[in-house]
Amino acid sequence: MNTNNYDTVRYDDAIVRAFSWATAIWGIVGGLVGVIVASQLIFPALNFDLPFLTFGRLRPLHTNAMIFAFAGNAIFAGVYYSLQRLSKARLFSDKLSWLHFWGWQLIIVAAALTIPLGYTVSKEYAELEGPIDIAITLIWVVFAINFFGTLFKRREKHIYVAVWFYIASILAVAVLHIVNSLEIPVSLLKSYPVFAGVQDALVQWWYGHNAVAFFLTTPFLGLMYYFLPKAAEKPVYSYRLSVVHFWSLVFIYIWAGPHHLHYTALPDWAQSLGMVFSVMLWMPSWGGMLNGLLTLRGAWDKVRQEPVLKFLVASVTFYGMATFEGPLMSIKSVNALSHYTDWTIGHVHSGALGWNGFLTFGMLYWMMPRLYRTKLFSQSWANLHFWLGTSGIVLYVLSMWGSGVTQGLMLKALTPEGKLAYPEFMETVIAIQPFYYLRLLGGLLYFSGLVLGLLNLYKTSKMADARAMDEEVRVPARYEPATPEEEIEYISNATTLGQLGKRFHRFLEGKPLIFTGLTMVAVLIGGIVEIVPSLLIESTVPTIVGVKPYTPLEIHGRDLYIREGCYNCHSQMVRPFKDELLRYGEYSRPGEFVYDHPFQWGSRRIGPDLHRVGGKYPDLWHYRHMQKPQTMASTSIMPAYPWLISNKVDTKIIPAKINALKKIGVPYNDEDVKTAETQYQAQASQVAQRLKDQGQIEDVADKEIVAMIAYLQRLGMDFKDSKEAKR
Amino acid sequence: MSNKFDGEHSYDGIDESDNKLPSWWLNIFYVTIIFSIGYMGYYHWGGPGVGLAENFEMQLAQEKLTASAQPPPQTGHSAEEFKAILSDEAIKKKGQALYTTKCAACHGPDGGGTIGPNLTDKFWIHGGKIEQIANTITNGVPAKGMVSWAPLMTKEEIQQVTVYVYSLKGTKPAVGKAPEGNAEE
Repeated sequence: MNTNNYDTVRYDDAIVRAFSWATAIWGIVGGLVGVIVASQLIFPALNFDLPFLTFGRLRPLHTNAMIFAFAGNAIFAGVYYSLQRLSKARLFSDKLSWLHFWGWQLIIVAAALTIPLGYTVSKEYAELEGPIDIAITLIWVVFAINFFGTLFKRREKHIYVAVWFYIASILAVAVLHIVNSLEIPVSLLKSYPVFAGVQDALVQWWYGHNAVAFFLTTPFLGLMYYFLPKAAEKPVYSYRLSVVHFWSLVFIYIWAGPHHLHYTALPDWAQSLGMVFSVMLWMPSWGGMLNGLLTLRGAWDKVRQEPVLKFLVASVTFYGMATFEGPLMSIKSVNALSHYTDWTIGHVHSGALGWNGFLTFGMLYWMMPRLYRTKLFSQSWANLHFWLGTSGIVLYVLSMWGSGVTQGLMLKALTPEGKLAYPEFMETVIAIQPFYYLRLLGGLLYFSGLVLGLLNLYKTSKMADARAMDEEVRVPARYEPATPEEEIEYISNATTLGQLGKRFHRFLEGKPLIFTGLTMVAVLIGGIVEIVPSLLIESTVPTIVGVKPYTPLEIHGRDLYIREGCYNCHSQMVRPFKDELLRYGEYSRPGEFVYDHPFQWGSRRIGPDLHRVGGKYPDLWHYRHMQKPQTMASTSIMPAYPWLISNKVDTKIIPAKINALKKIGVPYNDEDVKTAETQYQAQASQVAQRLKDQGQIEDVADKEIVAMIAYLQRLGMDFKDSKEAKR
Repeated sequence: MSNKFDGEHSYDGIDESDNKLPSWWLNIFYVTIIFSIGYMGYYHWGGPGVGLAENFEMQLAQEKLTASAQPPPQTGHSAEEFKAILSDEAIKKKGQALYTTKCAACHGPDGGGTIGPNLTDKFWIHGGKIEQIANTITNGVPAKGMVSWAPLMTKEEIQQVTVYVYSLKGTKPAVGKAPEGNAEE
């Protein structure tokens, strides 16, 4: 090897500092919104009767902020820090780095404005509307170019396991985001997904689950593989475990999405695939945990003293817990109880607060002093942060287990005569209120840790060495190349199968492009096998004759339902269980959703299911209920929606909506598009007249409330009259 | 085994060991794979397993549950059963509590009527005799948006709330809704 030839490389640490501050600051913003929404479920008055402060709009703001702003910026900070050092090269382009940084922050600001204003597609963690979706795609491409550009000018032959995980993340997120964002625009900030009902649900949860996989798991595994051995100053436990768990994880994860749709109208075979792949995912996930924990062999004395390691160890442990709980919850009979309850909320927070949060804090506490050429301002503050965070998570997760299991059991409970033991949904809401207080306390503890952490990092940065802060290293200019022939010969000279595999994989690690291609194949298979048949085979969704497209008024009402984020608390999916049959009515059939762009099945029942609510109450009941839910049910925790009664509807947009839906296959004709406004007004006057007859004095035909009522009264009605409903 | 093909398993100071895969880890992984193949075989690849909805239909058929799964209409309330309890203040009080949580939203806190009709005047749409009131509460008037309360209250509770509603007749509500139905003396 030619050892005389050295390069001096100056790493770009400024960009890492920028992303680090962004994650710390957005973490506080997103956490604060989390504390607010948790409080709203105890004190509905905290919705303040203001549209942009209601739970249905703030909850998606919280989830998006934590995933894309907090975790996202943490990923970029950690990837850019470690990638340069693992490649022994400065980032590919400073311009792209800063475009990436400001582009991403701008997207976050756009999200933080549009979501509370009600611009949403209503698909969870993919709520953002068209232009922002496009911006995300572009910035992601910028990230990818910068990432692969750096890899191609690396001065190390082999790419380390952390980089494998980064590659998988970049590829998969791009595919998921694009497919799930296929929408037809109505206006700049309003669009309809091209898929409907069952297909839309499948695509959404293929996306939703794999956002967890490839945004919250694989990038963080990569970060763990860099920062944990760095902080512990110990060798990584097992290279071959890395290889086996990497490939099994990226291949299996993508299949698991349908476990979010157990017992729904999704075909059974897809549900079963979702379940068995989730079960098979258990060990590949634990492979990462083991490689992390076993790396600490002989370093446990350090863990006791060093807050960085405390955070990292706890993080990996929470990862292990969450990835055991996940497969457990994906088993259909467990899911029958857990789904739609707070158990899911507890599960996701043990992952988000424990795994993602703690890994991020551990990383920041290790990295930031190095980025500022100084020491951490206060070890004891960091220790306090750790204990605040840990006790917060424990309270949070335990309370959500308690709440979820309590509500799940109460909803399912039947009397010996076969009646519902708790026929009023409200009884279960009241029963879990104590758990909501505990959850809020847990959240507040965790949040105070976040604030303390930011303060500690700020004080650290104030002690910075004033000299140039970007790290400079002298590294060998190049690695010894081997010709393709030599490589093939070396691989084929292997004497055992194990050696062959290892040599082949080692070869791949020197060829990032081939590595990337194979990763893409592994990631795509599951999605193709699950999604394509459901799009092509018509029998997936048997036609129900009575199911007709929504009227223009109902479509507008549906869009209001989406705008207000009703899906955050109400499902539209009655599962085939006796308790649900008794409580809501007939279980939902796939054919009922063929005109639902987007689907509104929901994922949590904070309030009751609404799929069979049509015709259940008089129009005036809905009017009063929207105006102030507590007049109809004094203990209701639903926010009031008085603006639906005062907001006038501009019907000019209605034909464009019908036309957009017509383009993606809803059987409206040209006449429907032309007469959409008159159809709207005719039905609106009917509803308004009924309200008048029932005792409402003023005429509300031109207000939003009539559209909302028309939509709610339509739900489940087509099915009621169809032959499938007659037993 | 450092050579130009394998290189050093060392990256930015991170060394990489190559310990064996833990055997329990590998064994559980195999078990989950075998379970998965078995599960798919049993339910989807020709096995005897039954689908979720199909299974539910079978369960229902066994239990002979009716279409809407609502208990058969109870018209069983008679004037007789109210004789003993009609002027029982304790019963009336229980009935009032039930009325406040379940009925007041639509009939007003004092029975004056809002969404639902006025319960204090002498006009009745579905009959003002005490057993008729009980039957209306039991079965509901789904066409007009009044739910059947049979699944939501026990027969005893329906009797209690009926006694209370019956006692509202002739009281003066704060705001009384205009008469609906037929006058009954």
